[in-house]
Amino acid sequence: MTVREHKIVVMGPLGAGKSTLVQTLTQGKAVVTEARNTDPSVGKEYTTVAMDYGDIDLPGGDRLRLYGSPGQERFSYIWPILLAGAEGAIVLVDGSKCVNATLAGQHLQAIAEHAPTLPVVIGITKCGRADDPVLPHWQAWLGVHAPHLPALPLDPRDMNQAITAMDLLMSQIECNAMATADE
Amino acid sequence: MAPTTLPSAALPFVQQLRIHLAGDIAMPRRPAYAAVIHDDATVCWLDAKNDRMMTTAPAPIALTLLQKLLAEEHPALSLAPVSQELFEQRAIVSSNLPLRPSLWNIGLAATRLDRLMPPLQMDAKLRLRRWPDFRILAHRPDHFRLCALLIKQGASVQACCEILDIPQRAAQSFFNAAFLTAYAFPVMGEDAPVRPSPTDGLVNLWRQLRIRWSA
Repeated sequence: MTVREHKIVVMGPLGAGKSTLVQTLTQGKAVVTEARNTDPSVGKEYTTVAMDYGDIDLPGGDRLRLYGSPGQERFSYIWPILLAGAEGAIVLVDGSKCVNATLAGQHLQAIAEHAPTLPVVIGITKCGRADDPVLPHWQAWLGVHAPHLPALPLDPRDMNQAITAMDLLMSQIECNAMATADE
Repeated sequence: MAPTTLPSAALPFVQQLRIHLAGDIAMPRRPAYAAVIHDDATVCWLDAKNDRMMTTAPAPIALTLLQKLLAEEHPALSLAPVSQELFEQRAIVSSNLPLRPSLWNIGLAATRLDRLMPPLQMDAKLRLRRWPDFRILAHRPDHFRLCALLIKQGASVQACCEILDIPQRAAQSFFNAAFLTAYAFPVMGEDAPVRPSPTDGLVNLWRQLRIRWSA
């Protein structure tokens, strides 16, 4: 029996919650590469400097590998490496940031350049409850940067919300595969 | 007394409502406020700009009435666009609800198995203008799948059922809700490919895992 590996990448700017999401989905078993944060604009003591990695056993012996990218632009050379062979990506956006200051557009741009057909879901973090609407200024930002991508409010600490984001991504993957097969 | 209706009242209610909801995006100068009228009385007020629905009776009564009327072939409802000034003067509120999620739920519940919400015919193909508000979709994985399909291409109820292997009623109720809230628009001549997703692919393995986790 051939064991297959499936790869999902979690991207987004520093402090958006990527490591947390990977930890949540792997039930705390992810490997993280953290170092002391030197960016004073982000209120966290440690930050990812290489990648986060965790895996989930799938039925039939396959493995779902989750990679969390480093958020800082200086590590952007890693993003295409992580995107290679990925079946989908979740891009997290820190919704508490000023919409003009977010660097999430860089991550979407990297996906557009290196994996243009990749199914993507956007999670807006730190923006209130999951049943709150996406705030109007973020809706406007999404309209410019990701008009055809689904975006949902997401608390990456919450397993149910993390699973919802994955369900949404799987729907994207499913329909992308159908469209590709039809071409 | 209900506000005076404008010329668009000649259109069936569902079309009036769709034009009103799309107006905040496509035609920003149209009034964002309107009254929904039945039997010369205002059932609720709509504020598309702030995504609010204000019912004049307690919400369960007003929503049940709207659901019942919208399930009929010719709903005895009309929409009267009003100015912000008139809206602020006259909007009497019993319950304050999120507009599109409330209409979405009404659309889902107004489903009859033998037909789609008029003027949609059973063979109508819909395509999504954009992804719906996630307050609507948060707990409906079937709806995620329908959205992911219909954002890419137009498809009929039957095509959706065949492609995604979902019950007809689920697809029909989604079509009604997406059409009523103006997230979806009718398209012509786009035929969806009928091809099930591979049973051993990541998507199906994930769904099996979800079942295992929830057991």
